[in-house]
Amino acid sequence: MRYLASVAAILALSVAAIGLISIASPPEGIEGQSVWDKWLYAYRLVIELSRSGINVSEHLELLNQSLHYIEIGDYDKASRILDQVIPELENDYIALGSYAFQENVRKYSIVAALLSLPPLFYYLFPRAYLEVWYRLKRNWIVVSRDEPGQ
Amino acid sequence: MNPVNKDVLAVLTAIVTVASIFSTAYILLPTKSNHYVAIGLLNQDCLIGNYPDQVYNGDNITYCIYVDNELDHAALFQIRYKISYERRYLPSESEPSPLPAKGVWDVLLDKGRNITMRLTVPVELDQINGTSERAALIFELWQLDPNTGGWVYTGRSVYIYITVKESPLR
Repeated sequence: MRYLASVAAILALSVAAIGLISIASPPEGIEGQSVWDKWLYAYRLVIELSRSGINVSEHLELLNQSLHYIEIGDYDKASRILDQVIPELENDYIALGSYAFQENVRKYSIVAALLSLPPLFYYLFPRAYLEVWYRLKRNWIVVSRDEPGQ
Repeated sequence: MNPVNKDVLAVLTAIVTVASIFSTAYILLPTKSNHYVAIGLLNQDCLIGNYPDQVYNGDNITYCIYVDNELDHAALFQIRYKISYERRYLPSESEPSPLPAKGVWDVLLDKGRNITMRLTVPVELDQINGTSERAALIFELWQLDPNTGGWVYTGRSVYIYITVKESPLR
């Protein structure tokens, strides 16, 4: 029961977080079709960005809103939201190349660092160990057993 | 002079090498190779089980529909609600039910996100043979193809059988 209750709570939270739209099919009429085409264009950009690992949750929220306005036939509001979101998406899409490059540089730098660990360890560990060993024993005094008076 | 034993150093280096190779593989290999979408049917309290088993013809019934997007990108999904009397009209993994949709809901989901929607659907049969009829309430999951702008059946659907009784008021 506890498991079911927690599932229900998670599901309820999901609903609250995302929201629900009810729309039948692409809108009819020239204006509706033009807004729908614009929405589809934004949708394509969002998919490309999302696939490349860009966070598009804010854009999705705006696309959700515009979809809602398309559904109720308020094409002006839908178009206004799309006019706001499309340039942002286009800018992100243009920056996608440099983002991918930066991501690759970051990833392969980590890989290079990881792969260099074994030889570094092999070379540095005995020396570091020796250094510590010397430091721990630097107060020791070497005394000959054969020295008279000992 | 080296206080580190040669064999001990070899073992330690081997451990570091293995850890390094595994970490590198973890970074370089794709984290998720199988992408999928899912649809689930829950009762009106959004819990598994205790589904209503009968309804009067023409009444509405409430279910929760769970949709999960585990694709590698965000997507617009559509849930299509249909009613079928006959088994041959049930959807399969390759073909949707040929029956017309009685209700349609759209939802835009980010990748890795899910949603549970409480949907109230009408259960209306044209005719009932006798006092009651068994019917399947079908929920199909469709996805908007960004290239064509058309809807594509994902191969995912859920259905539940329910007894539809003749309404006493008719």
